[in-house]
Amino acid sequence: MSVRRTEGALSHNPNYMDPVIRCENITHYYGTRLIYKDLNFEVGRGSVVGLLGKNGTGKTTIINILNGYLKPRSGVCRIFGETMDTLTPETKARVGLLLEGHIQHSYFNVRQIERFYSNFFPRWRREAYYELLSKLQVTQTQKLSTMSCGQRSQVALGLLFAQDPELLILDDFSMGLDPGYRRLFVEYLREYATAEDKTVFLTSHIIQDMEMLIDDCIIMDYGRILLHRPTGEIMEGFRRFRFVCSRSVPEQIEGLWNTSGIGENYETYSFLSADEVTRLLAPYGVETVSEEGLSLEDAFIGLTGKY
Amino acid sequence: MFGAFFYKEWIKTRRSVLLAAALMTAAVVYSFLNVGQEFRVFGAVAAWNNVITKDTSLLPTIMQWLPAVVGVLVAVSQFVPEMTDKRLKLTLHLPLGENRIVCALLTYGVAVTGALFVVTNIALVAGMSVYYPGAIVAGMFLRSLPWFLCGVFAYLVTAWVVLEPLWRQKILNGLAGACLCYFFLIGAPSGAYVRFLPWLIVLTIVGFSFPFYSAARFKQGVQ
Repeated sequence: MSVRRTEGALSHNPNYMDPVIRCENITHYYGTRLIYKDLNFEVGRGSVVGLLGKNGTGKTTIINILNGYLKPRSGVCRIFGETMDTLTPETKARVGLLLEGHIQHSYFNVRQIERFYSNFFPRWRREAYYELLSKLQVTQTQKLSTMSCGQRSQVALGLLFAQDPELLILDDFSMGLDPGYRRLFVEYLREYATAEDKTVFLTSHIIQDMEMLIDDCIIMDYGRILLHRPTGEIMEGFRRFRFVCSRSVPEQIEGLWNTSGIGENYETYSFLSADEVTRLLAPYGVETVSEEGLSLEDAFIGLTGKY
Repeated sequence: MFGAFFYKEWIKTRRSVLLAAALMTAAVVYSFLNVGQEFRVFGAVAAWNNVITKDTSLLPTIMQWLPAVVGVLVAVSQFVPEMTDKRLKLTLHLPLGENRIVCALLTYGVAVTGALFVVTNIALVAGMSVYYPGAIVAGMFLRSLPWFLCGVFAYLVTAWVVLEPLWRQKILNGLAGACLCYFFLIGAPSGAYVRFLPWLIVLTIVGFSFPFYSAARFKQGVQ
């Protein structure tokens, strides 16, 4: 019995009746290396969806495809119904984009960059930008190139808030942030997304704090989506089971994820109950298992493996 | 929208533009000092004789190359920061058509280099008119015009090279651009370029389209 649900698994959710992002059958290679084959997913209006995966699983690639900065071998992504490589200026104005590493035009200072961007967006909210910036120890004439990664992340976030887009696409926003700034970023983003009914699609390889932010998880493995489920469902249903076994237990057992052991001490992960896991392990001489609840980070490791 | 782009590009390139302006100013001053020295040492008759009978250039050799250097400098300072960390994605994500955005960026560069060259030429024509009659100064202007066009063309070629995402293609673009620049710098007697000038102008106008090709390749994610 397979417990893996991927694309289409969330179609019961009313938000997914009106997807803001829809990627269909995306296949991409770098040279001869397969990145994905027939990748499908949707992001419903008003949801906060995290595309989580280890380094090299193609998270940034999907962001690039989504924004039309990379042509996939086949397949199509749509944002607000428009295909990725022909987004109209009106649609681009509805999408806020944060590049990996909080990249911005670093030759600007705090005031200049706000002045520049304000010319392009009709719903520009200057006060949102300066409200966020007021919490930083930076002056208005400080250049972005002289700021720390954390400070630059707040400038980038402030610019996104001022743009007031309907959809925020954030590429590995947690990269380079210390725990304080990461928490600050997550809290502001959560507050903004909830209060304003925004749609957020983000990628990250750092899972800490994510359970505070994302409604749905898309967990990537090399070349495919492992799982696409509501975060709550993963947190409540996915468990770690520890057991002792003197015989060799195979890594792949249907219904169990990433079974591994050191000596006679094993651990495995599953959405199944302890009784069902015990039943699956009985042929290997396992009589009892101990069950543990997981943080999202533990669940991520359980799903993707340690290596 | 053009105003916003000009603001951004100015903030980014102002140091390089000021450096280019200083270089052009120094070259103009050097040209005047050179001519003044020639008049003082050899006298006006010998100086005029050299120009009229030996077709000696009024401008020093550096003036032949400096506009191209200025064009390259402006383009590098404008587009290298855009390509560093692929910031061009941010620029192309602005709510305008991508071609319009590239057009605005190039218009800034052409306007800045063009303005520097116009001011330089006004200064040279005004200054040389003190020493030489109008016909000789007009000859100097026509002789140097391909060099200044080369400056604008070098700007466009450099933008074409810098925006290109693939290194191998960058090298090919650079070689092709250098060959095309050579057309602007062929040594010839004064006046020889007059009939060729319209073609150089056409080449410069066509050169405006080159960076669009690189930007389109960047947009497609060519790697």
